[in-house]
Order: sequence, then structure tokens, then C-alpha cells
Amino acid sequence: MGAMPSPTKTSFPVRCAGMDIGSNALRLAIAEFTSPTRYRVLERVRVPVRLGESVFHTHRIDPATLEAALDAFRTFRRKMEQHSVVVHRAVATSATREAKNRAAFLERVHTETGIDLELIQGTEEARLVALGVKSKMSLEKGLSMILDVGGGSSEIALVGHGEIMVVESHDMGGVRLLERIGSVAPERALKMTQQTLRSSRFPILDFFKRRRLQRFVGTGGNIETIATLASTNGATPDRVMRVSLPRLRQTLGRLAKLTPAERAERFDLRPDRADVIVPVGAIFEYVATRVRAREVWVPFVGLVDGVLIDVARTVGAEGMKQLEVSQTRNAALALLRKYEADPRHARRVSALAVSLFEQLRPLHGLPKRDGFLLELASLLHEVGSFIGAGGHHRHSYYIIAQTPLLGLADEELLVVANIARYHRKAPPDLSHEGYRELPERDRQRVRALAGILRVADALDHDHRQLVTAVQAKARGSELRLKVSTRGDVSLDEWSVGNKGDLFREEFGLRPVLVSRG
Amino acid sequence: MSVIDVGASGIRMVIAELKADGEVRTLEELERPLALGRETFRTGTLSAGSIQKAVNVLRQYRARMDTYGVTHSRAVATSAVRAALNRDTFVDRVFLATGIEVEVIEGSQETLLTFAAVQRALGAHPDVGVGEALMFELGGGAAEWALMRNGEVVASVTHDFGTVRMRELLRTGETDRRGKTRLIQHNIREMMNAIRRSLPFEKVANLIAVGSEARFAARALGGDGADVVAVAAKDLRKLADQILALTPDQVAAAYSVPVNEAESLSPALLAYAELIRLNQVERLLVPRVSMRDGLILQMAKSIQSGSTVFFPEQTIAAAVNLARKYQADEKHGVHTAALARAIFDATKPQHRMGERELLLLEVASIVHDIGNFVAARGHHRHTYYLLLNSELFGLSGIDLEIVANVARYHRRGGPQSDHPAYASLPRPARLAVNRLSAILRVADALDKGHNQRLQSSRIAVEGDELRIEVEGGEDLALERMALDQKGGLFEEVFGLRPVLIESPAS
Repeated sequence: MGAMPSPTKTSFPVRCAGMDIGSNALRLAIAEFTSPTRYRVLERVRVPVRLGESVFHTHRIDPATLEAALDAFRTFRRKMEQHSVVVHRAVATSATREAKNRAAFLERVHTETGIDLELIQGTEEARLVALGVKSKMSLEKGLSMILDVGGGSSEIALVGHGEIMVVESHDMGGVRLLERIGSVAPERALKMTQQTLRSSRFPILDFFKRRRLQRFVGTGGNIETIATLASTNGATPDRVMRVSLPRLRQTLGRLAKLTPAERAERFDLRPDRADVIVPVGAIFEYVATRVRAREVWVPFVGLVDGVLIDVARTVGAEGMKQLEVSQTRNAALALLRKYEADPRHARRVSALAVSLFEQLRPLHGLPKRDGFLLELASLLHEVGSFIGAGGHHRHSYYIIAQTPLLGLADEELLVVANIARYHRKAPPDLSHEGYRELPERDRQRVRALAGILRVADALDHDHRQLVTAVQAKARGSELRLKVSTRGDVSLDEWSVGNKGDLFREEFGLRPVLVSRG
Repeated sequence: MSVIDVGASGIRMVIAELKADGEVRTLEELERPLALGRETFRTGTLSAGSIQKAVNVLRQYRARMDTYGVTHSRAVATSAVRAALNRDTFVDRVFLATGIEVEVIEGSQETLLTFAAVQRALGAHPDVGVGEALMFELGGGAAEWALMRNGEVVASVTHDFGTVRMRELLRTGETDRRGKTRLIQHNIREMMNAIRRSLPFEKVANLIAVGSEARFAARALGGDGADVVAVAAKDLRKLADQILALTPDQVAAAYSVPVNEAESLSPALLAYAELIRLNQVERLLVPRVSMRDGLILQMAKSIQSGSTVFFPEQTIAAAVNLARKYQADEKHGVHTAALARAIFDATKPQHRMGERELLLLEVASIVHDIGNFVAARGHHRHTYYLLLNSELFGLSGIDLEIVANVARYHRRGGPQSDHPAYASLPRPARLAVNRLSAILRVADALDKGHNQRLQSSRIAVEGDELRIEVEGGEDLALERMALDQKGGLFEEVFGLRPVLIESPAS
């Protein structure tokens, strides 16, 4: 199965598989899609391999766990073959991401099972979870929060009218909290978890001091178990359940009094659920209280469902991608505000850069997605000024590279960070670590896109938005830029001369202004 | 005493005498123009020719020092040498040829020294000591800014745009006078925006300029004599216009200034005028002092009291400001600093560190969580990055590196020789990082709940334990757990096991 058929050539119905390589368990879901949104799950598999345990302790996946995980992947592969799956996607979250021997792990998974494991950040995790949730319940009206607690991390996503607005990722998960607190008496453990939570910062929750939430949604196996235990009439996981906050507290209190072994015994829980359920329950209780939610909606879907839906979408529609683009743009704008960068300059430069990118397509031949990366880099090129004016291009790089943006793959984020870095000062050079570490293909993209960004930035050099539009035409050895302006642009003219160097190197054309108001 | 200042446009020396009553009397001031700045800012390095010229000047200064029988001397270099890639070569060459050890100092130290001089010069000025005042120096390579509140510096920042760069801009850019003016104004506006982002002020009552161009303006517009001269924007603009019409040689002749200084006059004057406008003040105040006066003051203080820490309150205030900027839990930071100080005081025989290290510890404690602003994940590493790229009033480059490393090691793995940022520090600095981060980890653990619960603790060394005694029947499980996790380094470094003890409430 190693080589998958090209997704775009496949048509519905199609069988897809999603895999979630979490910190507490490995999951597979296989479904048949009749359209990008309609599907029927054929099989779900959960293998309790706790990758997080050794990673959060020693920063490595230990050999025994690694072998157990490989066994699970072999099972997954067999299942996919049985169901004639054509498209799959496998994502790994914090445990794998933090393991120092992750490269070796990924390599073995690939060579032994043909599955390409993709490391994802918390923001991508939240986006996928939200996709899963939306397939089960409507988030169209008002403001919703989705809290997904895994073994190694928690993701809080704020969804406004169906679109993700903000995501906050915390390295707080069931397995990790267990590791941190160690073995203490059960009731003590709950208290210590609560104190740890109170001492942590959740900036996203401050948002709710004055605002009300419509819906508080919980995902992950633990909250599902709690919902089931709290329910009086026996649960059916096909429904969306609602647990009131008092019920949640009561159930949590009941569980906390017992040792994990007693919990497993009395409530018929799996052993790897019985221990983490209390710390994870405490996270739900804490966040729900902070946002003043009256109840938790539990839709019984998770990351693996999101992965499944996401992979099915790549099969068919390009149009769905538009939604993600606007979510990513929202995330970039939020970052811009956080670092107090001048929004008018950022928006103008980004509009000019995108316009140049479109007009110059015959010249650079880069795909549309690169234009979007350029747009993001243009929006964010000055965030580094918040840290300090000196070397602010390098600070912009640091900030962007450290802040996963919703809907962007890691490699794309690094491209954006590099473009922003090269908006001024020294051009890309292999002595720069962040640039050197890019694959050659991305380096080329960075050079071309930074060349365009520099020209666009020069057009609004004095931050007064005097240049309102630009028309670019190559003539001879020059790129003639005809600009529409309001006011005197002598300054920008000077600056285009100075900042056009990289563009000239990349495209062999010297940008010159031929201003006509 | 003597101080030498290797600047961007010249090398200057002051020879002074410290009298028994503590009064400082200047004996001689020397100045030799040498455009080191122009070279470094253009080419990135200092040429052999320039280094030789500097050596020649310093040889003569050396002879003069010997004539006076100087016993205490100090030589510092600022932005021109600081920015040169071959600065070590320069420093070494000067040392081999003249025996003078040149110290390359940071922008924040320059501000500190100049401020010391200004504070002294403006002590007799009742208006300046009230409300908010901005003090700045447009140096050759960078502009130094400090915010004073009621006569005390509370924060400072460096902006890497100075008169030499302004001159370069004027040369490569516009040719007509109006264009030049606009270019300066534009860059000054950008600088002011950056300053506004970095320094927490509302509206300043006074704008104080130091530096040679400011002194020139004071001389040309206010006459000699007074300690502080006030100049108005329109006079500055008029003067700048007159100077812009002349060639540098003509300026030098007409105003009797060195030719290379003449070139930076008009951009500086235009910058002053624009700053007056942007800050909505009536005048610019120019005290007659320089960084060299500050160096002399510092030397006098060090001879008299042996103290090497200046204005520690301002450094602490700057740290608190930085914590606020990055929205860190200020109460937790300040409380951690207090706990760290208590541990530091209780373990003096074990660590044998002095007041400078204590200051670094307190600063690191206050700001240790600022990296959360970037992202909670790996926030200790973000703290390190932010600190390394921040200015903290009164801290030298190496001080800041120590603080950044100490803060970085407040959680997760301790200092390790395979961490490049730590390994590249000189050995004494590494030792300081070990000791200080060990203390910080204990202090941080004691306020694990971020609730400042441990108020009245008694800390003492007993046997092989660091006993932290706390009154009252609080449940200290959380703090104990944190101490178990973070106290290991302390035990490794000092051989003392930190233990929490609940003493019955009295």
C-alpha cells in the first residue's frame, strides 16, 4: 500500500482511514465517504500504547513501547487492506513530537508499514478536532469552546459562528499530569491537580471575564467516560450527551476517592483510563468553571474523526480549503494585534505583495498557496518590533516560528517565518540557521517571496499608505511599477531603489517606480 | 583618575582628581576626532589604518596619564567598536601597543553613566525632577533613551539609529533640502514610535538631550554659562537650515567644530526639532554633561565605597516593566525575587557571591516567566530569547546573558555543557548561572501556587539542609512537590537539601 493513488483522481464513494497517534493510545478509524461530508464508519480500533509515559519521563520512546507501537501500525495496515482503503492520513501529537528519537520512530513506521506519520502541532490538532465536532453538532450560532484533553496536551479552541478564531495549546494532559504529580493518595492527587491548574496561565480564558459562551464542548476518551458514568440512563455514543457542571463535579468527586484499581473494578474501566480520568476530569471542571459554562456537551468524536474528515476532503473539494484560509488569516491577524504591530501598514503591504504576486505569476510560476504564505508573511513581517527595533526582522522570525498558525503545516510556518525575516537587511544566506535548515525547494520559495515582500514593503515605507495600488510590467531589464497614490511618494521611490536588490537578484529585473497618481 | 572614551567620531579623555572630601575636580579634557564610526557602520570592520590612528592617539593619552601620575584609569569603547566584527582585534592591538585595556560597553551602560552625570547636573534644577522626563542621547551608532519619573530613571532602551546612519541616509537618498528634512523626520517618527512601545510613559514634561550635538546646539543658541540650556524647536530648525546650506568644511570653519562632527550636526538638529514636536514640549533641555562625567563619578564612587552596583532600584524597576510588557504574573515574579533574596542572604557562606550577583538573581526572578507571552510550551527558552534581545537598564552584555541563562534554567533541565548558549559563557559567568539558577528554582518552587502564600518564612542552613520554616497550618503539598522536582540543582550545587518545615502557628 506504500504508494497511495493520487487523491485528486479518486472519486466518491471512497474509503478513507484516519489515524491518531496520541500519548495515551493509538487510534484508527476507517469510513466510507459518499461525499466530502457524508460518511459511515466501518471500523474503529484503539490500541492502548502509552507513548507519553516514557517520553514525558525520559524524552525518548523506550524500545518496548516502540515495538508495541509498531505492532499497532501493522494491525492498522492490515485493517486498511481488509477494507480496501485508498486514502489515509496519520497524525502524531505531543508524545511523538517531543521524543528525541522521533526520527527513528517515523522512519521505522514508514519502512515497516508504509504509513507516513505526520507530526502536528496543537493548533492543527485543535482544527482537526473541531472538524470532527462539527460533523456531529452545529457550532454555527454564537460562541463555542472546544476543549480537547489528551495524554500529553490540551487544546482549547474558540469557535465563533462555525469558524475557529483562536487556539491555545497547553502541555497539560492526563499522562503528563500523572507523571508530574507522582504517586500520592487519590484525594490528594485531585487537589494537587487543581492547584497546578490554578497556578497555570490560560490567557484564552480571560476572554470570558465579560463574555458569555454559548456552548462548551468536551472531547477525548476521558470526558466521554465521565459523561457515560454521569448519565443515569446508559449512554449511546451516537448521541451528543450533555453533562451539567454539578453532575461533572459529583462524578469526579466519586472517582477521586478511589484508587485507580478500585475505579477500574467498580466502574469497569480499562486500567489505562482509570488513572488519568481524574486529572483530566479536573481540567474539564476547572475550565468549565472559569468560563461559567453550565454544562459540557460531549459529542463522542475526537481527533481521529477530524483526521478522517480532513483526508476525505482532500479527495474532492478544493472549495472547502477556502474556509481554512480565512481561519489562518484570522489567526495571523490575532498575532498581529498581540504584538501591537501597525495593522494599517501590515494590511497595505500584504495587499500590495499579493497583487504583485498575482501579476508576476508568469515570472515566478509559483503555486497559489505560496501567494497565501506571502500574504501571511507580509501581515506579520513587523511583529518582531515588539521585542525590540534592533534586529526586529530576526525577532519576527522567532515569533512566527514559535507560534503555530491554524491550518498551516510546520514547513509552511517556517517558510512564512523566513520570508518575514528577510523583509529587510541581509538577504538569505546559508550562514543563517533558520534558512539553512529549510529544504532547497523552500529556500527558493523564500528568496522569491521575500524579494516580492521587500518591494511591497518599500511601497509603504513611510507607513502612511500613500501607495494604494500597483501595476507591474517587465520591460527590458526593469520591472516598472506604476503606482496609484494619494500624496507625495518621493520617499518610497528612494526606498524601492534600496529594497529592490533581492528582487533583482532573483528575477534579473530592477524594480523602478514610474509614479502616476 | 582618568577615563578614556573611544567613540564613533573621536577619542576623548578626562583627567580628574578625587579630593579627600569626595569632591571631583576636572584637571584636563582632551579630544581627537577620528571617524571610526563611519568606517564600521559602512564596512562592518575597522581597517588597519584606523586601528593604527587610534593606537597613536591612545599612546599620547597614555603619556599624559603618566605625566599626571594617574592611579585609577578606565577606557571604554562604544558603538563604533561594539559594532565592528574585528572588535577583539582592536582591543588586543590597543592593549599590546599601549597597555590600555579597552572595555567595550553596551548601550544600556552608556545610558546608565550619562544618567548618573545628568542626575548630578540637574540636581539643582527643581523643574526637571517632577513628573515624567525623557532623556536621550543621539549617539553616532545608536540612540539611547531613558525614562525618568520624579528624577529617577525607571526604564531605558536603545534604538539602533544614530547620527552616522542619518548622514549615510542623507548621502544615498535625497538631494534637495526638503527631501532631506522629510527623510530625517520620517526616521525620527519611526524611532519615537518604537520608543513609545518600549517605554511606559503618558506625556513627558521635559525632554533632555545629551551628546556632543546637543551641546553644540546649546552653545550656539543658548550661550555659555548655565548648567542647563533650553532650546526651542524653531531655533533648531533655523540653525539646521543655515548649516545645511554650507559644506562640512564651511560649517567647521563657521562654528569651530571638527569637520567630521560638522556633518552630523544638521541631521541631529532636525531630529531634535522633530522630537520636540512629537512630544509636545516647548523646549529641549541640554545639561552640560557626557558619559565621561558619569565614568568619573562611577570611578569616584568605586574608590570611596568599593561598590560596583549603581542604581539597583532602577534596574529592578526596569525588570518589573519588562515583566509587565510581556504580561507576566508580576506578583509572582516580585515574590519569587524576595524569596530568592532571602535564600541568597541565608547561604552567603556557601555561595560567596556579592551584591552584583544578587541584583542579577532578583532581575532573573522577576522576569523568569515572560516567555509565556510567546507560548506556554517551552516558555523558559522563550524567556531566554526575549531577555537576550531586551535592554535592561544598568546591565552590561554579560550581565544580561547571565540573567537570561538563569531565567532559562528556572524549569526543566538544568545548566548543561551541551547547551551552546550556556557553554559559550566564560567560566565565572557559568558558575554564576549554576548558583543563581539553583536558588531561583527553589524560590520559584516556594511560590508554585502563584499565590504568595509563603509570607513569613524563616530560612536557615542547618547541617546539610536548607530549612525553610513556614508558619501556619497551610497544606504545603504543592510546594513540596515543586521543591522535589526543582530542588535537585540546589543540592548538587551547594550540597544542601532544601526542606519545607511547617512550624505550628504561634
